[in-house]
Amino acid sequence: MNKLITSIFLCLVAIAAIAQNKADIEVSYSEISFYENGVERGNKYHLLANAGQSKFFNPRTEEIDSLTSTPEGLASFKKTQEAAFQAMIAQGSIDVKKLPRKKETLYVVKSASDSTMTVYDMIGSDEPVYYTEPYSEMVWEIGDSTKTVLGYECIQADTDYHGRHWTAWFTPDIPIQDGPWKFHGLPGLILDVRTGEGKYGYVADGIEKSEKAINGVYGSDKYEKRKRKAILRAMRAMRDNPMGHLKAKGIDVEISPENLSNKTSTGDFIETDYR
Amino acid sequence: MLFVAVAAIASAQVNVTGKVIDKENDEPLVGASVIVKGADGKIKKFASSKSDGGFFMTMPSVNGCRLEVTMMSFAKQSVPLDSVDFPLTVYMEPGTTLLKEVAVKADRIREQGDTITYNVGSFAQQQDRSIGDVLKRMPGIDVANNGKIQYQGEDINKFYIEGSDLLGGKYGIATNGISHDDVGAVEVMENHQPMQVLSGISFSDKAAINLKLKNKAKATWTFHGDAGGGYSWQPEGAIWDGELFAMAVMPGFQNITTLRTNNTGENLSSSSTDFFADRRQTGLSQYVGIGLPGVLSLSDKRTLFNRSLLVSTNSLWKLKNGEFKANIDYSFNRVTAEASNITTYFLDEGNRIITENRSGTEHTHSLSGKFIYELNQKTAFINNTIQTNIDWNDVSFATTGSIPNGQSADLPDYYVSNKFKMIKRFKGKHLVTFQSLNEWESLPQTLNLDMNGEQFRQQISDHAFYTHESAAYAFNIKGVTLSLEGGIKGYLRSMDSQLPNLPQELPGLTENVINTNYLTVYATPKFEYWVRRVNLSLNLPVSYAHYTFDKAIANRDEVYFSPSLSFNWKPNNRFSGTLRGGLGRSPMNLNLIHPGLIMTNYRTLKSGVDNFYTSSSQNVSASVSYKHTRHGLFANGMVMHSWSHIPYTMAQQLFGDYVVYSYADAKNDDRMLMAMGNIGKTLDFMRGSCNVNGSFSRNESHLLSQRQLVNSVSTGWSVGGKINGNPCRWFSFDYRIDYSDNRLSMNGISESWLSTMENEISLTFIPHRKWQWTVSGEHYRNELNEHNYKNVVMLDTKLTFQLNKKIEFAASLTNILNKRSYNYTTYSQLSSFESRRQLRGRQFLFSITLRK
Repeated sequence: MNKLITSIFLCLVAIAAIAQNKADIEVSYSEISFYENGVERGNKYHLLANAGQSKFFNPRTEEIDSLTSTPEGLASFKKTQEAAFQAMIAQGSIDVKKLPRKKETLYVVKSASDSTMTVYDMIGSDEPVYYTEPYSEMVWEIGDSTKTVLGYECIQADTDYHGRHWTAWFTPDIPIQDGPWKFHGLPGLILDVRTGEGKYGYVADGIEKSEKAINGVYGSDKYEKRKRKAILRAMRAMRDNPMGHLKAKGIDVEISPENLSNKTSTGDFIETDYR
Repeated sequence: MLFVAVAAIASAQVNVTGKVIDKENDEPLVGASVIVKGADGKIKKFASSKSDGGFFMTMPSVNGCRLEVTMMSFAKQSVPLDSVDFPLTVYMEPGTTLLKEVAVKADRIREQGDTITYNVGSFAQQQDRSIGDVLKRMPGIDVANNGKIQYQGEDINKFYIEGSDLLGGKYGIATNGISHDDVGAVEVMENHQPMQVLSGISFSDKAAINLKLKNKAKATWTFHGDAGGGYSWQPEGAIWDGELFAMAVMPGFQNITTLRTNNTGENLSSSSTDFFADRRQTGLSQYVGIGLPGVLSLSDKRTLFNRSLLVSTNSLWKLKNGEFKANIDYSFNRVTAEASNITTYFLDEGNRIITENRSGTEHTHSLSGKFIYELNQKTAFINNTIQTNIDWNDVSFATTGSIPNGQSADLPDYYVSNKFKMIKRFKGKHLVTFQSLNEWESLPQTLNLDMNGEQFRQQISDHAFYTHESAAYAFNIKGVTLSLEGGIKGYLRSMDSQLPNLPQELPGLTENVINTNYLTVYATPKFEYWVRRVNLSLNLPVSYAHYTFDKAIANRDEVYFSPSLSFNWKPNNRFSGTLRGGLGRSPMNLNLIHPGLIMTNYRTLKSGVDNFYTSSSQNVSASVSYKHTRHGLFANGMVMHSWSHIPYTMAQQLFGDYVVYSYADAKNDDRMLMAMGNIGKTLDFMRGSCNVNGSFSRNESHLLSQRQLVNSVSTGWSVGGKINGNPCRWFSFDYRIDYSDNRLSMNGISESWLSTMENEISLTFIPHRKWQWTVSGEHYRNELNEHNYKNVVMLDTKLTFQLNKKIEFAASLTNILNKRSYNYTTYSQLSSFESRRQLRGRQFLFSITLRK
């Protein structure tokens, strides 16, 4: 009898959790970010959010991750990639950019109930890692200026966060204390946020009511927990010395010296406090 | 002292604390936004409610401040803080948080390799019903009035639903029937090669469209039905409009079945036209032509007096090897027309004017069946298509005026064909193709004429059989494909016509007994170079033909050589350019070989040629297209120039009130220049798109009339634009403008430019999500002669109430101003034609839509 009551209770809890899972809104953001040669990356992200939790992700990446989270799915995805590759060979030109693949690997999952966020990313193409961070590291100063974004009146707020100064524009008309990337904690949704010189940032380009479920990250058990700064240092090392990284894994690659570029330090990450 | 002051300041700190509770169930609410605003309305402090619903802030003072608590799906609560005790308990009541859905989520247009994906939801507007309504708004895609789809100025070559080609060229059934709400995305596949066996070997410059359905429409049957009834002021009486649509898209089976009927002026032919149909090689065409006169620039819904019915069922079964498809359609149309016409023939000795008032009725029944087996694999392609079409048309006309008469015609058409094609690919490089095509058609025509109390009856029997067998071999090395196709074509046709009691004033024979047969052997070497971003294709068809005419005219032997070259360059994914050119000789239309007269209608007769002619032609064209999907920009342009040289020309002679067309030996040179361009762009800020297009054409020809050579040049240009948008939640609009100008000059004497302008606007208001109100209208401005304009304004309105997702009611009033007639003038080569036509009057329609 007790077992029955317990299982009914668990079911109710699960249903409540599912109900809680439903998003209120879906927002699309364009990332302001440049390759080292000055070309815009053109990355796109979506934020699914309700009052208690949110997920910031790229829909295409999530689609691929959901597909490849099962062995059959992974096989079928590899087949698709192979077919696309064969078609390019048949046409005589191979453009890796056109292959079905993931470009943005970042996920940020925020939870208001325990005031923490979890950031999932990849070091290189094969090292999934994650870290958690308490909400308290981001402290805002609300200013007086206002501007309109997507028809919403937004109020200015500033923060110094992990090595950069950020200016955000949030709207109290959408009472969700969330925003793109790791940004959160303003009394309204953040629609526009960027660094002083405008080299990094996120700008909302669409908002819609949504009842989609805010699911976890596919294959989250494959991600390894690390410290935030350790991850950033590893990514830096990867970017500065990709050959060394491969060699360290036992993959020997020979590249003629003229193909090795020396300029590696120009572009920095969105967080710069790891050095 | 200092210490006391500090203590006083410290004690002046106010702890703003409290709890946010859901009033409905007394549960704490997590994540509510809690803001303290000063007297100036500025945010002084903020927090969010924690897992127990609690919040905590400290402030130096709360004088004049208000506490605001907001949360999605709850009404905002506002509490003045001047005289409250903490902790506060704030109860939240359900409410709606209105989002300004300027919303564009996901990319509206995405690009992945050669596939462009349009997000349907981001182009659809409230008042849209079918996927066709939404396709019209997608930049780069153009849907013509007859339903034909073009991408970047080129006709599409396939229309798929979830990757299956269920409907072939009759895709109008899908675009008019499938609800846009069932479609997630429209994919355009550029350079689509439908035959997998040719992929990577044979280049295609055509694109295909694929509808990606939403999950809710897959693996199940979806239905929707419309039933409407009402009253019309002209034609006076009851009106109806109904539709039933059923679709199943399953992994191994697809079906679309539809029934549509109306008498409200909606032309159903866009749902029953096969846009991919090859020209019938039987080559028969009707000699009798008493169709209802065409209408210039007014849409069908204003002018068509119809009773129409269309039933179509289309099924596709995926078999172990390949797939089997059956498409069966039946359509019925009854169209009536009343017109009074004044025709003026421009002659050197003065103009001749003929007036007539006509009222006619046309019945068209059409039954067609198409049964296809297809295997489409990487190493083999097999397709066998059996097709049969039976049409029964009859037309009857009563004419009063200069020559009062009654005429009626029976024009049935029977057609059967079988088409077989097999391609096999060996070792990846070698291709072998066999094809066999057999067609038979019979087109008997009867024309009855009752004039001045006399009866005429003309009977024509015309039937033809065509067979074409061919084999081809091709091999491919490093992007170069060489192929040779050889084959044989046979054609047997016999035509008899009899025209008793010919009016006395007419000269010439009244009987034809004609056989036009030929046997052709041909070889087509083809060279195709396709490496990286360049494709070059050269065709060199050579044929030898032997014509026999059964003593009517002398037998002939001819050799034809018609080389053509095309070059495509696609330096990147955004730009594509194509150059084409060709020249060659071709036989004349064999239908023109008849020495005796054939009556086309009560005052037009034609006599054919009494010799066999061949014509020659040259053409060059260039086209470019550009797209930038991230910016939603699509543009294309095309220029074409063609020359044709025909050794005969049409002549026109008047005998009393009769017009007799005949052919005479003459050098007839035709030159045509045509240019067109089109730019489309998404307007994301208002979820809309816009489009601008323009065209120019010039056609120069020589014609022999009354034994005098006439050099005629017709020039025309047009510009148009359209824009649509959904700038706010409660309002959307569509606007279109088209302007065109035409001029005809003969022997250097120019008529004036005549322009037509058409504006169309539709405004939809959504005061409440269940209610929708559309006001729409058209304005036509037609120039009848120089600076003499005819303006017509038409207004419609429609009110829709959506009871729930499954049931919808609509009431519409069309032609509110009750305009009942429209006059216009058109010019053909040697005559002008002034017409007064009736319009559909005001009509009221009430309809119910049900969806599953």
